[in-house]
Amino acid sequence: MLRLTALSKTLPALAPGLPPRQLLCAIDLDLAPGEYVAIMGPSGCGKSTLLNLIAGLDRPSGGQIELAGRNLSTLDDDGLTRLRAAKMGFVFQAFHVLPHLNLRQNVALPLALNRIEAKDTRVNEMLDAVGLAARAGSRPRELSGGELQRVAIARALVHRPALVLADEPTGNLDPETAERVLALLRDSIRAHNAIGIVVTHSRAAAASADRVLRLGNDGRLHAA
Amino acid sequence: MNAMRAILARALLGHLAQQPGRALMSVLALALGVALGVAVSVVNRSALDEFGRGLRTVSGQADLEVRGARVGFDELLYPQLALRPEVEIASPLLEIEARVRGAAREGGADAIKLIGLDPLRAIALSPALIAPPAAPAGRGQETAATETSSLPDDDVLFLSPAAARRFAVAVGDEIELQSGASSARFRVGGLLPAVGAGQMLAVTDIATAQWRFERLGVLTRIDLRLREGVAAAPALNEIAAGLPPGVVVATPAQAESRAARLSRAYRVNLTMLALIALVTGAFLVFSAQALNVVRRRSELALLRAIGVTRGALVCWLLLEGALIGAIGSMLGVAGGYALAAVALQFIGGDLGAGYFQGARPPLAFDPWGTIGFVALGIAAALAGSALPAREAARSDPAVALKSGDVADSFARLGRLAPGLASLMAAALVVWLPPLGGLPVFGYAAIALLLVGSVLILPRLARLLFARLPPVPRVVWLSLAIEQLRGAPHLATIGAAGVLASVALAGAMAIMVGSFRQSVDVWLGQVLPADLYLRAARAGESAHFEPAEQAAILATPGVMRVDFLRHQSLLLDPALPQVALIARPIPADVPERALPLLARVTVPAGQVGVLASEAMQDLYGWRLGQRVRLPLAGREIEVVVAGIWRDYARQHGAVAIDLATYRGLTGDMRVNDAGLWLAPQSSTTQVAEALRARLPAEAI
Ligand SMILES: Nc1ncnc2c1ncn2[C@@H]1O[C@H](COP(=O)(O)OP(=O)(O)OP(=O)(O)O)[C@@H](O)[C@H]1O
Ligand SMILES: [Mg+2]
Repeated sequence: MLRLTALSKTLPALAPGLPPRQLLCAIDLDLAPGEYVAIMGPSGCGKSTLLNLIAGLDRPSGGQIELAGRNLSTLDDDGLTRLRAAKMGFVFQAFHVLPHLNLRQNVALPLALNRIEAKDTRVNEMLDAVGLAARAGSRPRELSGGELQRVAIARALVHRPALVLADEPTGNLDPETAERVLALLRDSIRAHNAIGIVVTHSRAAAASADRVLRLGNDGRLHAA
Repeated sequence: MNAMRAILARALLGHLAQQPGRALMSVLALALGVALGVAVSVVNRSALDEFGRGLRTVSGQADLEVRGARVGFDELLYPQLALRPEVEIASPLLEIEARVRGAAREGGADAIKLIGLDPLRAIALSPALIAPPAAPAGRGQETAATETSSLPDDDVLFLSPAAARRFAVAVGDEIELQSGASSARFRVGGLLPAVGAGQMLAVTDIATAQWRFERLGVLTRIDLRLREGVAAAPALNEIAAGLPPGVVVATPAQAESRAARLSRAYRVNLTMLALIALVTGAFLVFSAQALNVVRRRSELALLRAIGVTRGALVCWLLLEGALIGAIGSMLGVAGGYALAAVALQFIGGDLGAGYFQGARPPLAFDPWGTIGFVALGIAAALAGSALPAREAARSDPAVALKSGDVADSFARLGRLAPGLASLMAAALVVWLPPLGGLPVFGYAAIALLLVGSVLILPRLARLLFARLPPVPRVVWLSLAIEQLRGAPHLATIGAAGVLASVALAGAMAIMVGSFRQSVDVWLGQVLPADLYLRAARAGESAHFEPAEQAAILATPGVMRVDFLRHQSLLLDPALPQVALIARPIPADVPERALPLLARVTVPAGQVGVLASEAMQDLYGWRLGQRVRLPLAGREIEVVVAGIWRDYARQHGAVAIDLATYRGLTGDMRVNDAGLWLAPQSSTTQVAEALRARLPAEAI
C-alpha cells in the first residue's frame, strides 16, 4: 500500500524578489498492491522529483508518504536506505550502471544488498527476460545505451520489490524492445503483487499501465 | 553476507585494480615516508645493538666503570681503587684509537680500537677480550710465524674476527698500528672469536700499549667488580667522591644511554623528515581520494539509492584508503630495510654523523619501529581519505544521480576559520619550550603551518578566480576559467594536493640546504684560514709536537698560523663528552675568533672561556657564571665570558685562548693548524712543502 497525502514540494525562488516555486502541490494518491500506473506530463513539471520523494531520496515540503504502513518522514537516512534496499526497485532516467561490475554482477547487486540466496538463477532469469543473457559477462562500457537501460530494468526487478519506480525506462529503446520491456515490467509487478509507477512521455508506454495520471505545470496530479 | 561483501568490494574498489595509476602517487608518497622512517629506526636499532654488544664485550661483567676523557688519567688511581674494601676486582684498561698503516683511509676504514689490558684481571671482567688458550684454527700458523718473526714476544696483539677480515691478516702475520706520532708493529697472536661481528678491535698487553704509544703511566678506564653484597649505588657515590677531576664512575647502563644520546638529535631530525614525507602522503591521499569521490559521484550515489547506508559507504571508502596505506607501507618497509642495508654498508651506524667510527653493524630487525611506521603509513592514508569519505556520504544521491553538477562538493573546505586557527596555533606553539630536549613543538608548528596553508588555499583560490578577467577571444581559456569559478573547491583540491607535495618537497630541500649553508657560513667564520693542517686523523691522540709546530711556522709561503688544540672533557657521566678547543682568542675582541651571540668582560685575574649554545642547554651555563673545568688533572675555575653559535658539536664545546690554556696546563701540543699564506704563494706549493717537512703519517 502506497499512500500520498497532501504532498507538496516547494523550490527556492529562481531569483531574489520572485516567489518560491510550487513544484508539487497537494498531491493525493492511493495505490494498492498489484496496481500499475503511468505518470505523464511536460518536461520539467516535477515527475522525477515526485519519484525521488516517494523513494525517500528527497524530502517533501509538506504532506505525508506512507509505504507498507510506515511513514517515510519518521525514518532517518539509514532507515530510508534500508527501506529502499528491501522494498523498492528504481529505474533512473539516466540509467546508472556500475562500470567496474559486469552485467551479471550489476543485476545481482540488489540481491546481495538484501542477502538473498540462490542469486544466480534469478539473475539469469532477469537477464534472459531483458534479452541480455548472452552478454552476462560483459562490462558496461561494451554495451549500447539501450542495452544498459535494460540492465537497469533487470536490476530494479531482480529482488522482487514491493514498489517499482521507473523514470523513462524506454526512452532509449526501439518500439519493439520497448514493448517487450514494458510487458516484463507489468508482468513482474503483477506476478509479485507489487505497486508500479512508470514515468513516461510515450503514449504506447502509458497504454501498458492500468491507469494514466497527468502531472500538470500547476503541480497537481489529475486522471488523464 | 560474503557475497554482498564481494560484490561491494568489486563495485567500490574495482577501480583501484583497473586504474592503479591513479593511486600510484599516493602509494609512492606513503612508501617514501614509511621507508625513511623504517630505515632510520632500523639503522639506529642496529647501531645501538652493536654498540651495546661492543660495550658488553669490553666491560662484560663489570659492575662499574671508571673513565676519564680520551687523553686518560694517571694510573696511580688503579691501586687506590683496587685496594678499596668494596672492590673485588679492578681491571685497568688503556683504549687507544689507532689506525692500521697501509689500509684504505677513506671513511674511517682504517680505524681500529686498540685495548691494552691486564689479562689476569680482564679475564674475569671482559672474558671476550682474552683469546681462548688454544685457538685450533691458528695454532699451526702461529708456531710457524713465531719462528720467522723478528718481533719480541711482547709485541703480540689479538684481533677481532671483523678486523682480521677487514685488514686481511691471519694469525702469525704482522700488522702496524699508528696513533698520533707513534706507530708500532705487532704480530697477530690470535683471534678473539667472542667479539661481536662488527667490532674493529685489537687487544694487547697494557704495558705494551703504554710503552709503544708513549702513554706510560696513563689509563683511560678501570672496570670494577664489587664484592658480593655491596650495593652498586652507594659504592658508586663513594668512589665518585674520591676521583680526581675529569674522571667519572658510571654503571655500564649509563654508558649505553650515553651512546644512545650521542646520535639522538641526528636521528630525531631524520625521523621528522620521514614524518613530513608521511604528511605529504596524507595530503596526496586526500587530494587523490577527493577527486576520486567526485569522479565517481554518480556511482556512489547509485549505491546509496539502491540501499548502501552512509556508514557503510564511509567504511568502504576508508577501507580503500587503508588499502592504499597498507600497500604503500609494505613497499615502504621493503624499501626501508633496503635503504638501511645500504646506509649501514656505506655510511655506518650513525648515518654519517661520525659517532660510531669504524663499526659496520649487521642489520637488526626492529619490530616495533617497523610496526610503528606501518601503522603511521596506514593512519596517514586513513586521515587523508576521511574527509572525502564523509563528503561522499553526505552528498545528496538524488542530485548526484541527475547530472554532473559538482560545484557544491567540499564546500566546507572554503571556510576560513579552521585554516586561520591552524596558522594561529602554529604561531603560538612555536614558542613552547623543547620537550625532553627535543624541539617537538617546533615540528608541530611546521605541521600546523602546512595544514593551515592548505586549508585557506580554497578561499584564496576563489578570490583569485573571481578576479580573473574574462578572456573573450580564447575559447578554451575562458571555458577553463569559468569551470574554475564554478567549482573552486574541486579545483583547489587538485591544486592543493600538488601544491602541498611540491611545498613539502621544497621545504625539505630548504631545510637541508639552509642547514648546510649555515654550517658553511659558520665554518667560514670559525675557520677563515687558507689551508688547514690536521694531525693524522685517528682520534684526539693525534697531535703536532712543538718541533713540528716550529717546522710548520718555518715553511716558506706561510704567513701566519693559528694552532688549535682539541680535547674532550667529561663533565657529566650521563652526557657525551664536551669538546675543549684551545685556539688564539683576542681577549678584547673575541668575536673575531668565534661567532659570538653575547659576551661579558672578564674581571681582571680571571680566566674567561667561550661556551657554545649547547652548554647553556645541557649544563645550564649562563653568561658570566663561574664554572669549574677539569684541565690537566685539576679543577680550574673559569668564567663564561661569551656564548657562541656552534653547529658542529651538539654535545657542547668550550673555547679557551691557546696561550691561556698552555699557561694553565703546560700542554704544548696541538692537533690542527690554520695557515694564512703569503700573497704570492699557492696552496698546492705550500701543501707540498709541508708534506716534505713533516713526517708522512702526521698529516
Ligand atoms: N535541486 C534542484 N534545485 C532547483 N531546482 C530543481 C532541482 N531539481 C529539479 N529542479 C527543478 O524542478 C523542476 C522539475 O524537475 P524534474 O527533474 O522533476 O522534472 P521532470 O518532470 O522529471 O522533467 P523531464 O521530463 O524533463 O525529466 C525542473 O524545472 C528543475 O529545474
Ligand atoms: Mg525527469
